[in-house]
Amino acid sequence: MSAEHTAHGEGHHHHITPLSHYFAVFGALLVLTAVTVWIAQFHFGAANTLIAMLVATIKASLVALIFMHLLYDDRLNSLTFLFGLLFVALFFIFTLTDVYTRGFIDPVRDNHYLRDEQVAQLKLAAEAQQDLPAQYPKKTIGEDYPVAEDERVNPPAPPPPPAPPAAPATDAEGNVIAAPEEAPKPAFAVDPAKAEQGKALFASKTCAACHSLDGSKLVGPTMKGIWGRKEVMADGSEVIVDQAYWLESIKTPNAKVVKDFPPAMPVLPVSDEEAEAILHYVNSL
Amino acid sequence: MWLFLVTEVLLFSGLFVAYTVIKSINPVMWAEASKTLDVTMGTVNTLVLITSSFTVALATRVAQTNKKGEKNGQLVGLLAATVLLAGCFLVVKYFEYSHKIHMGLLPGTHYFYNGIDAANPHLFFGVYFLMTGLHGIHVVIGMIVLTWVMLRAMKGHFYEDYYTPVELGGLYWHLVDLIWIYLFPLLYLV
Repeated sequence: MSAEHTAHGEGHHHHITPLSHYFAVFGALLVLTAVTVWIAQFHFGAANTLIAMLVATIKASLVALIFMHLLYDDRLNSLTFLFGLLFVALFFIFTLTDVYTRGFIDPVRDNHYLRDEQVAQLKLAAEAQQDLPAQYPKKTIGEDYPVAEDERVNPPAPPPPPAPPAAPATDAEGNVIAAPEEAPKPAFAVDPAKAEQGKALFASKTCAACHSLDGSKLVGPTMKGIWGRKEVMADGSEVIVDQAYWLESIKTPNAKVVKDFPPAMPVLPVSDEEAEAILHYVNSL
Repeated sequence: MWLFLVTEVLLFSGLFVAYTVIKSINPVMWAEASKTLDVTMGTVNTLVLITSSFTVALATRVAQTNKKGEKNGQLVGLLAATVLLAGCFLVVKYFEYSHKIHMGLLPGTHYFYNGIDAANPHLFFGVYFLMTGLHGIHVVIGMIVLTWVMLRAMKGHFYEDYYTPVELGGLYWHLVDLIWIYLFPLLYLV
């Protein structure tokens, strides 16, 4: 500590980094940039991101330690910066534990994100106009109960709800086993328990952000009177909303997109059971 | 200064978290959309920023060794080079932006490009423009600060016992470089 420095109010010598260090770091940064661009041509899956972040972190450390003098500075500076990074890490950890585990909270089977290959498979099936793969069987909903207040469910619907078929096949308890295939606007038999479950899902799976329940047009089509509705697709084709279309729309949202709506729906972590519960809910209103 | 840099890191970390979440929900779309970015331009800009970081680091060193009262042409030159390189960065960015705006890749309701075969490609460009835009604002601020430091250097204000403005301006500029070191691979490469 020289007298001159003390006289200027500086308690210690500042470290002068040798020029060679600056040049070495500069060279290393150039080389590492080349490495990260070169290695990105190869496809290692998730490892690509890891490698890129590892290289970026080495580069960032060199800049912080040498160019920004953290290596020689007061340790308090390093500590401050590290605490900042700690809070960034906490930010990431808590947000991502939430995002990545939302699909696992519900104990329903098969409740996870659709993986890429499943999406591709469903897309292929949709393009080929084939039936959906076996894990998404077309289900038939029995007409257990006549729907109360049909007017509220389908107010603008031109065709009135059809009368129940004359003699539907029933099982021992009197429940209808199969619904008629060709009903113009079939009534939907709501299971109150499933509708209750669907109500919570409609909110937690963020459906409500884009789909209204009161007939108003948001980002996506309204859920009011969705069942059996004839939708015109962006390519001009027409689809009657049934169980299979409902599932397809949730699993591969952009396989078919209703005319005048953007292909904006994400693949959300919704299982078949949950999709059905939501269907019960929107038809219970 | 380091406390301020930490707040800057936290500011950007919000966008980095948004990036991670949106990418994890739309992995296929993300891969498709990021192909529209020009890796060459991104690489050039990375090299430009690294070089500018280098010149400003040298500038700090020159100021540290400068004798009192001397007007140091080397210091002024290095600071000018840094500001010039920052300008280069913005010019390349301008070409990238105008190309994307021309293609209809602006986020939100201004998005009208149909060439990406996946759901929600506009989300990628929302994140892209926010991250690079916020970074670009920092580049502009860095240029203003370093120009001011350069003007003072021309008057011979800085010497071995007083170089804090050069050092802090340099630190700010290094942070801009640090953020880009992460932005570049995240947006252009993976």
